[in-house]
Amino acid sequence: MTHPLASFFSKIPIFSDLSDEELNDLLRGVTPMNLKAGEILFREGGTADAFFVVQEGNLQIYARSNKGKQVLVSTLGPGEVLGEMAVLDPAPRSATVRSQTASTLLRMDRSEFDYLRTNFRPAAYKVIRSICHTLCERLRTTNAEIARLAEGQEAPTAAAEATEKAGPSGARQEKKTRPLRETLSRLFSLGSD
Amino acid sequence: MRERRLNTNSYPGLKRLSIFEGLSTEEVDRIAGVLHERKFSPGEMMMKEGDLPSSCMVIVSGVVGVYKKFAGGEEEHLVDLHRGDMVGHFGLIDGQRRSATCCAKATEVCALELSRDDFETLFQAETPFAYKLVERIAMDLVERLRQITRKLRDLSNDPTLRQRRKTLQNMSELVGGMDVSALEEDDYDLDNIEFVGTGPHRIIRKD
Repeated sequence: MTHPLASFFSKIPIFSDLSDEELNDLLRGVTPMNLKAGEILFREGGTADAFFVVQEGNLQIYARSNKGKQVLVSTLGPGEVLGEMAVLDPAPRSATVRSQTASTLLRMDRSEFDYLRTNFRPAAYKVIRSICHTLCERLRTTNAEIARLAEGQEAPTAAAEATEKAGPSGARQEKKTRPLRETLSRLFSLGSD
Repeated sequence: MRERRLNTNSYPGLKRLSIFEGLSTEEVDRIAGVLHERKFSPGEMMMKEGDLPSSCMVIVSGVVGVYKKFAGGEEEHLVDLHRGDMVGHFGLIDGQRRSATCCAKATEVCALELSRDDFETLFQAETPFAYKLVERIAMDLVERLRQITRKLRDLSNDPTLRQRRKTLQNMSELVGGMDVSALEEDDYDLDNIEFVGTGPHRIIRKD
């Protein structure tokens, strides 16, 4: 029998390659949990021992600024996945997540996921492959930006343009670009495929 | 370039390569049937920047130089790769064009090649090797993104690069999966964000 959450999960990009059978396999390890408005799901520095799918409600992601202030950086709603890097990376949580409204989350413990993984279950590896796809895109985007910077042609993002005050003279710019370029091309080597 | 079909008898060192770690001899045998051993003379090109990816390779011996063309047209040497390192494996995942050129350096390079089609077949057949390879790719991606984030942060704190600080920070947050371009300068140094997730995060401006 198809799991009642299978059709919900199949619409979420990182699970969309999974067959019904594989979704069932994955969903066996998923448990629903409820949060009241204002409740903390996890705190920065905590152990990344699970990932979550938002079924209902909204969650807010807070990061700490250099002045120690908690800054709201993002809000996630139904169908969005949270903390899935925990599957690949055992590093502690890098942000604090709080429910904005009463929320229902679907929680998958890392240990449940690792069970699928150590048993070479396709469900786990299709999810990992899908995460890899996103990370590849991210790496390539970053590399392209770094290459642009290294060439002294900064990416024309609105934010960059807005913050750059009146530019220095062309000569100074040239002088500045050179060491930056060297640093960046060294940096690039970390990301090249 | 010389090429020959591989088998485990002719290649006893196969099992010692990290990508085969933990696999049974039968599994290694099965994989060996789809891998090609390739030898490149010193200076010979192994893959070319801009080409579509048809395969990946794991280096068995020799030193591989990685080069990239920048806008000036000159090719710059980025890094050297050695035994056990992989080249072109991200292309297996996303099919995008090669981001750099790889050449054998001063000595002959021996590498094992896996075609994209064979990888796909092995993955669809639920082969542990294909899964281990995906895992390896994931770990390489996480490590590289982590290194880049760290370096970008160092750069953004470099006083001689002050003018580009915001751009560099923007990029480092981008690597971490978080577009923070809408934040105010004051709240900018989110030094601790890393790998929050892979989904598109909607950004809320601070009030």
